[in-house]
Amino acid sequence: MNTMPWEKHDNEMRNQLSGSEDFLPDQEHWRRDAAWQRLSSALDQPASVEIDNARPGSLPQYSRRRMAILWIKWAVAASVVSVLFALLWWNANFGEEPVIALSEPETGSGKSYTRPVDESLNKKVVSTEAAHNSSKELALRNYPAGLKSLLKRNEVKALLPTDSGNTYLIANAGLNGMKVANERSENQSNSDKPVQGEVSSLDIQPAIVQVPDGGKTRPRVVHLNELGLQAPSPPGFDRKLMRSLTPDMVSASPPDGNFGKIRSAIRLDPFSN
Amino acid sequence: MDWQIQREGLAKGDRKAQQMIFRQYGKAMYQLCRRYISPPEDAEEALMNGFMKLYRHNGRGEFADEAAFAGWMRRIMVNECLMMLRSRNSMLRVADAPEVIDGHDYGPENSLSAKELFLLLEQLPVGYRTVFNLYVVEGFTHKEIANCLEISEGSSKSQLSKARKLLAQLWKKENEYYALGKAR
Repeated sequence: MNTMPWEKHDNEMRNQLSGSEDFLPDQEHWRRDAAWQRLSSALDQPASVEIDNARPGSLPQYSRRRMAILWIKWAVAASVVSVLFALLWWNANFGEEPVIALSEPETGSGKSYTRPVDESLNKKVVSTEAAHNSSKELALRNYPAGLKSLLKRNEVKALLPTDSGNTYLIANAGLNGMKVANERSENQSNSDKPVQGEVSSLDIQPAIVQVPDGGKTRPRVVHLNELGLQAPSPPGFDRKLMRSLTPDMVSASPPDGNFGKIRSAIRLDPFSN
Repeated sequence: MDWQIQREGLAKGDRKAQQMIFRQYGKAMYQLCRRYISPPEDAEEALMNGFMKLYRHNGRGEFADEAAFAGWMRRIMVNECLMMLRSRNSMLRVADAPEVIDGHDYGPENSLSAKELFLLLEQLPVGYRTVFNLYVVEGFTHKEIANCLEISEGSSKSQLSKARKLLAQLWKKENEYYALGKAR
C-alpha cells in the first residue's frame, strides 16, 4: 500500500485549495455579477458593519464580546457595592432611634428610680437619677449616624428590674467615682424582653454596659471612642471579672433597686476609681 | 488595470476600482468561504461582509504591493468565516462527529484533486474542518489557531489529527464505493 504522511500532502493540498482552480461542485454556480450588484447596493448604504477586525494582521479576537463581558462584570461589581452602601445608609438613617435617658443628680436616698415618661416630648425619652452625687445632667446627645448603628448593633439584653415591675434601670448610673454623663435605657413592659443601657463618662472613654437577662447571654462591657466606634478596653480593665458575672447573679438581684452584685461588679471598672 | 491605479481608486472609494477587485478576487474568496461554511448562501454572506469591510477600511491605501493586499484580503475573509461560525455557535461542535479509528496519520493512497478534496472536507464536522483549513490551507500554527478559536493548542492538534484520520477513512470509503461501482 502506497501511503503518504499527511505532512507531504499539506503543500499539495494548500496549492490546490488556495489556488484559483475552481473546486466547487458542478451543480453549484456562483453568480459573480449578481453578487457584485448586491455588494454595490450594500456599499451605497451607510456603514453599519464594524471593521475592527479588518486591520492587517488581525485575528478575530472577538474583542466586542470580550468587552461586553468585561462591562457586565464591572456592572455586577458596581451593583453589589451600591447595594452594600445602600444597606449601610438605610441602617444608619432609618434604623430604630436610640432611647435617650437624661440623668440627674440624686438628692438623697442613694437609690435610683425612674421618673415617669414625659409623653409630651418623646415616648422614648425618659429621665433617671444617678445613684450618687457625682453625676450631673448633660444635654441630650446628638449621636452621629455611625454611633446610632453601632449602638443598635450592640443593643443588649437586659438590665435590672425596679420596684415598678415593668421598668428597668441602668445599674451603672451609680458607678462609684465615675462622672456619669448620661444613660440610655429602654423601658419595656414585659420583663422577659431585653432592655439596653449606656453609660458614658465625661473624661474617659464612654462604655456601654450590657447585662443579660434570662440567662441567655453574659454581661459584657463595650468601650467606645469619641467617634462612637468600638475601642479596646483600657489598661487595667478587669474583663475577666466582668465575665464572671453570671446571668443568675443578675436575675437574683432584688427588685427594690438594690443592685448588689451588678453594681459591685461594675465598680470594678477602672473608670470608677 | 495597474495595481497603483487600483490602489488609488480603492483609497478614494472608487466604485470602478472596487468592481475590478471583486471581479479579480471574488471567485477565489468565495471558494475560500465555502471551505469554511457549508451552505452557499452563508458563504456568500461572509464574502459580502468581508468585501464591505475591505472596501470601507482601505481608504488609507496601506498596501504597497498587490500580494500584501491579497494576503490581507484572505485574512479578512477567514476572519469573517470564523465569526460567522462563532455566531452560529457551531465552531467546535464535534460531538456528532463520526467515530475516528485510531491509527497512524497517513493520508490517502493517492493524491487528491482539489474538487475531491473539497468534497471530502465538506463531510467533516465543522470543528475538524475549521482546524484543518486553518492549519493545512492557511498555514496557521497551532498557537495561532488556538488564539483564533479560543481553544487550547492541544485541542487544535487533536482536532487536526482526528480530521486527518477521518479524511483518510472517508477517502477509503469513497474508493471502495467507486471500486464496487466499477466492478459491477
